[in-house]
Amino acid sequence: MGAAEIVLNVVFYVLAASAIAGAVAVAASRNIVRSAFALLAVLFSVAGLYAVMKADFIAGAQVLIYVGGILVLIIFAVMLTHRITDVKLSNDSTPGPAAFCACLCLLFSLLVVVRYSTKWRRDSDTVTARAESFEVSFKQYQADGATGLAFGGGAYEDSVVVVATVSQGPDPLRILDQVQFVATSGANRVSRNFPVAGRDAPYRHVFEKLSEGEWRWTVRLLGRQKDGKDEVDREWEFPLANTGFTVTRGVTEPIALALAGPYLFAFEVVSVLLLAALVGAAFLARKEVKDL
Amino acid sequence: MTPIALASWALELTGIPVLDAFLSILVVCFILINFIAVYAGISTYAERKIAGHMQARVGPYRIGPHGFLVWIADALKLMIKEDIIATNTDRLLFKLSPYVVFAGSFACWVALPYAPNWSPASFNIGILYLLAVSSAVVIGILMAGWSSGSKWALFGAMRSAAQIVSYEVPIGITLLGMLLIYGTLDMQAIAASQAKGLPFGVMEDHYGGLWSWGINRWPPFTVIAFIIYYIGALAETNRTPFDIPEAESELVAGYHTEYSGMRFSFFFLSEYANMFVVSAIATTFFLGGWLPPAPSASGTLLLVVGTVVGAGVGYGFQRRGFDGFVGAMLGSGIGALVAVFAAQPAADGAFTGKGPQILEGAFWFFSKSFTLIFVMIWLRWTLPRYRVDQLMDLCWKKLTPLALINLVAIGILETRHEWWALIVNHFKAAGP
Repeated sequence: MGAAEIVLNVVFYVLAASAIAGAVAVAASRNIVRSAFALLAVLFSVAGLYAVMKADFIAGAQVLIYVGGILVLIIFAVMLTHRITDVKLSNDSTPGPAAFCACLCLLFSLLVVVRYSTKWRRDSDTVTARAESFEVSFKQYQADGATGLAFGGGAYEDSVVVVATVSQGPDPLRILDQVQFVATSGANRVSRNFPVAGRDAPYRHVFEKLSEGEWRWTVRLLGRQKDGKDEVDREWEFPLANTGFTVTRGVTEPIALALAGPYLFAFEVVSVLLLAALVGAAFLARKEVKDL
Repeated sequence: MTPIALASWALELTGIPVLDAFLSILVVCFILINFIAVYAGISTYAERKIAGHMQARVGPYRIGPHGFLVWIADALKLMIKEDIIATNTDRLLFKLSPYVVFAGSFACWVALPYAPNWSPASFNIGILYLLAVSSAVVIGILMAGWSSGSKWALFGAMRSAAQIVSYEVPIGITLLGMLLIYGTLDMQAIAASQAKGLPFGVMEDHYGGLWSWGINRWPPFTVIAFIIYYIGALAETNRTPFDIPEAESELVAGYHTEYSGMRFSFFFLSEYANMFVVSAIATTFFLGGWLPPAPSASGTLLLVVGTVVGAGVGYGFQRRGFDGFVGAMLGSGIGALVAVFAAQPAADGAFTGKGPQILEGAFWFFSKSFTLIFVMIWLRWTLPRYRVDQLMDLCWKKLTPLALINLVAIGILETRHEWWALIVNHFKAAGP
C-alpha cells in the first residue's frame, strides 16, 4: 500500500467516525438545538468522504447546499420556536432492542446491495493484439484510492493502472528480453520497462500524476530474433489506443455535460418544481393587507 | 498547467512518506494560521490609524514608532484577559462556536491563488469550495448567538445570518456571470486567463495588462458586477455600512456580546480573515489575481511613473480646484494606456506564470487585496449604518435583479461574441 493510500485510509476513517458520531449526537441529544448543530459535523464529514472518493464537485455542492442553505434554515426554525428546549424528546414508543435490531437489518441489507450493485472500479475492456508469435492482452483501470487530494493537490483522477499479459507461441527464433509500457498524449510520453518474467506473467504498472488529456497506450516488446546464425535486436509494437480512458481533472466537466445533455429536461422540470414551491411558500407567508 | 501545491514540496521531512504527508499539511496550516494572526493584528492597527487620520486625530501613537506595536499589546491583553462564561449559556456550544467561525474563514485561505501556480491547495472547484466552506461561518455565528443565552447575542446572530444568507444570492449570481467568461472554477486558471484580451473581446491575443482584467472584459457589465460583488462582500463580512449585527447603539456588540478574552479574539481574527478572503476573491475574479497591471516590466514602470507624475501635477494644481487624487487617476490612466500599447512582453510566456515569478505574483496579489481592504476600512469611517429593512431592500429589490440582468447580459455577450467581432470588423473595414 502506497503512502497516498494510507493517508487516504486514515482520512476516510476519521471522517467516517466523525460522521457517525455526529449522527449519534443528532439522534441522542436531549436538546433539539444541539441536535441541529450536530448535523454540521455529519454534513461536513460526508462532504469530506465525497472528496476522498474524488467527487470534489459533489463535496462542494454538499457543503454549499446542505450547510449553507438547509442547515441554516433548520437552525433558524429550531431557534425561533418558542420554548423549544422545554419540549420533552422521547421515542419510548419503540422499544430499544427492537429498534436496534431493525436498524441492524436495514444496515446489513443496504451494505449487501451496495457491495454487489456498485461498480467499484472503472475498468476498460481487455484488448488483445497479435503480432508474429506474440499475443498481448491488455487492460487498464483507475487506481484504487489514488488521488492527489491528500497531498494538497487537486482532486485528480490522474493515476491509471495498466496490466498486460504477454504470451508467446512456440517459436525458437524469437527471444523476448523486455516489456515496455508507453503512454503518450500529445507531446507527453511516459514509459516503463520490465524484464521478462516468464511465460504468461502479468505486468502491472501504475502511471501516476498523468496530466489531463486523452492518453494512448502502447505495449512494446524488446527482444532478439535469430537471423541465420546472427541475432538481431528487434521490437514489436502493440498499439492499444482507445481503451476508453481519458485522464480528467475532477468531476465538474462530466457533471456539467450530463446536466446540459441527457438530463437537461429532468433538470429543468425540477427547477420549475422548486420555483413553484418557492412561489407557494411566498404566498403562504404573505400577510393579507386590508384596505385602510 | 500543473498547479504546484505547497504541500507537495514540503514532503521530504522525515523520509517516511505517510508521516511526511501529514506533517507537510500541518506545516502549511501552521504557516497560514500564523500569517493570518499577524495580518489581522496589523490590520487592526491600520484600521485604527486610518480611522484616526480620517477623523483628524493621530490614532494609536504610544507603543512603538507611530504606535505600530499596539497590535502586539492588544493581542497580549486579549490573551491574559479573564475568560468569562455567563451562567445562562450552553457551555459546549458557547466554547465551540469561536472555533467553528474561525475554521470557516481559515479553510478559505488554503484555496486562494497567492502567486502563479502557487496555492496551499489547488482545487479544481476553487470558487465553489470557497463559497461552500465560508458557510460554516454562518453556522458558527448562529451557534454563538444561541448559546450565549442573551437577547443581544441572539438578535445579532439572527441579523447576521439573515444578512449573510441573503447577500450570498447577489454575490453568487455575479460570480456566476464572471464564471461564464472564464469557463472554469479553478482560481489559478481564472487568474491566468486574465493575461490576454482587450475590452469587448477585441484583440484576444494581445497582452492588455490591466485592460485584460475581468473588470474590463465587458464594460459596463463587468464593472457593475464588481460593484455588486464588493457591496455583497461588505455585507458578508459584517462591515460598515452593513454592520447591523453588531450595531453598538442597538445590540451592545451583537453575537459576540458575551465573549471575552481569547474567545472574543477568535471572532475578531475571523472577521479580518474574512475581509481578506472576500478581497482576494474580488482580486482574482475582477482585478487579474497575481497579474501585474502592465504586460511587461517596462510597462509597469511606465504605469508607476505615470501615477506618481500625475499625482504630483495634480497636487501642484490643487489650489486651482484640481485634486491630487484625480491627477493620480489621470496620470495612471495615461500611463496604463501607453504601457499596454507600447510595451508588449518579449516572449509569449511573460507574466503568465510559467517562470519563477512567485514573489512578483504574490506582490501584485497582496497589493490588490490590501487595496480593497483599505477601501473597506475607508468606507467604515465614511458611511453611516444601514437599517435592517433598508439592508434587505437593497439586497433583494436592487442588487439581486441587477445581478440577474448582468448575468444575462454577460451571458449573451460572451456566447454571441462573434456578433461583436462582426460589428468591430465592420467598423474596421469602414475606417480609413
